[in-house]
Amino acid sequence: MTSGPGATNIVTGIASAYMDSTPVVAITGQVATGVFGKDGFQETDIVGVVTPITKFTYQVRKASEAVPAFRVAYEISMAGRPGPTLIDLPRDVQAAPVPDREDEIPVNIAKYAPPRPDESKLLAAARYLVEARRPVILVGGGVVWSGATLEVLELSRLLLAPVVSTLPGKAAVPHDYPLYMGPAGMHGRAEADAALANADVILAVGTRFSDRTWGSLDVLAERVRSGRVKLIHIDIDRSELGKNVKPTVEVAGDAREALQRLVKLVHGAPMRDQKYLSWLLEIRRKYEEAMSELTASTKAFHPWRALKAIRRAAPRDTIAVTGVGAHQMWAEIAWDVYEPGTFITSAGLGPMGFCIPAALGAKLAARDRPVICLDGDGSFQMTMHSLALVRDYNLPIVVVIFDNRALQLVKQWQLYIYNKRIIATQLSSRPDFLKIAEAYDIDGVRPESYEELERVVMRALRRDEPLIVDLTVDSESDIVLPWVKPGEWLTSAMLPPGADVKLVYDSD
Amino acid sequence: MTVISIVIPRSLDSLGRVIAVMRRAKVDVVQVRVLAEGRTYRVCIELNGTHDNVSWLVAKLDKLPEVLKIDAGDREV
Repeated sequence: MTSGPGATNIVTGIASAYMDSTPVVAITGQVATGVFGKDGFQETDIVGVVTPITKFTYQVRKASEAVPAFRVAYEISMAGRPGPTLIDLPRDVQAAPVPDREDEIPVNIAKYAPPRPDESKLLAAARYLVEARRPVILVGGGVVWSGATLEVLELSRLLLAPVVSTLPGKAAVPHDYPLYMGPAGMHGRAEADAALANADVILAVGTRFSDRTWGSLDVLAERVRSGRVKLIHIDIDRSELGKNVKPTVEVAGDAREALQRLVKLVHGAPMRDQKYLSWLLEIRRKYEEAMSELTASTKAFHPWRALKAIRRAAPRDTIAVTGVGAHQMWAEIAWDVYEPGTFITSAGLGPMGFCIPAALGAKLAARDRPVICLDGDGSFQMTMHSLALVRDYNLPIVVVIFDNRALQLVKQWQLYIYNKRIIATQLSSRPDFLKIAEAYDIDGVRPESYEELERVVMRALRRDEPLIVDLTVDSESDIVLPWVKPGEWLTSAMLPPGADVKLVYDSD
Repeated sequence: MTVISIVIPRSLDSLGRVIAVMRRAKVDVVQVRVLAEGRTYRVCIELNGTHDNVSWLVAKLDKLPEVLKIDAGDREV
C-alpha cells in the first residue's frame, strides 16, 4: 500500500483479520524519514493507527532493519494464534541498498509456541465428557487453523456427541457428517442453538465466546457457575481462557494436539441420553420443512432456496465467500460446507464489501478450484470496483448478488427492534448490476427460475468463467430466521412460521 | 494495589502498543513510570482493579511480542 490514504484504506481489512485471527503481513509506504513530523503530503502515522488491531507493527527506519523486520512480521503473523502484522517502509529506506549487516528486532516470538496441554486437565475433561448425558462439541475458527477436523470427528464419534460450530468454525466440519448440527448463535441453526443451550457438558475448542454465538454470555456463565453445565475450554491463546466465561476446565494448547491426547483418554461406554440426538434431528427436520413451505410461495427468489440451488450447482470443493448482511446469515444457515476451509466470511468485524476482494484472494491462492462469492447488493456496491482484477489478472469468480435493494439485516432490526422505523436502509433501483458486469467485461445474468440459476452457475463454474448473477430477492419476505435477538438466550430464537418446536429439552 | 512491571525495547512505538492495551482494561491506573535502561524501557504500572480485570490486562500485555518480561504482584498501600 502507498503511504497516507493507501495505508488508511487497509485499516478495515487489518481489523477484520485481527478479529478473525487471519495471518496477514501488510506493507505500507511512508514518506522519507527526513520529512517525518512535517505533515508532508500523504504522511500518516499508520503505525499509530493500526497499533490496537495488529499482533505486531514496525516502522523500518534503517535499511539494516528491513530484512529482519519482514522475517519477524511473517513469523509473528503465523505463530500461535494467527493475526495481522504491518511493516511501514519510509521512501528513503525503500531506496537504500540492503546492507550486509542486519540489526536485531528485539521481540519475544518464543512466547507464541503453543503450550503443551496439561495432562491432568485433559483427564478431568475426559471424565466429564464420558459421564455426560448430553455432551456437545463447539468448534471455532481455531479448529480450522489448527487442522483439527479429523480429531473433532473422531472425538464426536467416540462420545456420540453432536458438533456445533461458531460462524468461523463452520468451515471446520463437513456438513454431511451426521452429528454436525450447524453453526449456533444469532442466526445459527435451530438444532445447533438447542444443542448448546441444553447440553450438560460443553467442549469448546478454538473459540473466543463471542456474544454472537451465545446471545447471552451471562446465562452461560451462571449455568457454569452453578454447576449445571460443565464447560471445557481448549484454546491456543491463554488470554482467551476465562476472558468472557470462566470454564470448569481450561486447557491452553493447540487444538489438534489437545484433541489427539483427549481422544486417547476417553474410555468407557458413554452414558448418553438417547432421546437427545433424535430430538435435535427432529428440530432440524421441522425447520427444513417450514422453510421449504415458506419459500415455495415467495415472490421472486428466496435466499434459503437459492442457496440450495447454487450448492447443487457447485462442486464439493468449491470455496464459498460471503459479504456481510442478510445474505451472509442465510449462507450461515443454508450453505453446506464439505471440505474444511472452504467457507470464508468475516465473522468478528463484519465489514460490508468483504466478498469480492476475499473471493479474488481465494482464487489467486487456489486457481484450480471454483470460487463463488455470495454477496448482497449493499455489500457488492462497496467493493465492486475490484471486479477490474477479474480480467486483468484472470481470476474467474462467480458472484451471486442477493439483490433485495436494502441493507436488509439492519432493516430487520428496524422492523422488529426499533418499532418499524425504517431509516437509510432501503436502496434505489440504481445501479443496474448487469451493466456493471458489462462494464468489467464479465457476463451478467438475471435468472427467472431456480432451475435457470442452477444451470448458469454450474456452467460458469465448470468452464472456469467469471459470471455475475443478479438475483432478485423480495425484501419484504427476506427476514432471516432463526434469530436470537441481541442479549437473549439461545432457546428464545425466533423461528419461521410452521416450525412448531420448542428449543428447551424435556428429559422426562 | 497491583504493580505490573514490564520490560520492552527502548522504542516509543512499543510503549504505544503497551498503552493501547492498557486503555482497554477496566482498571484504575494510579501511576505509570517509564525508565530507560540501556536498550530497553522498564515500565512500572500501579493500578487498582478486580482480580479478573487485572488478569485480563496481564494476559493481554503478555501477548505483545514487544513485552520481553512481565511480572505482576500485589502491594500493600
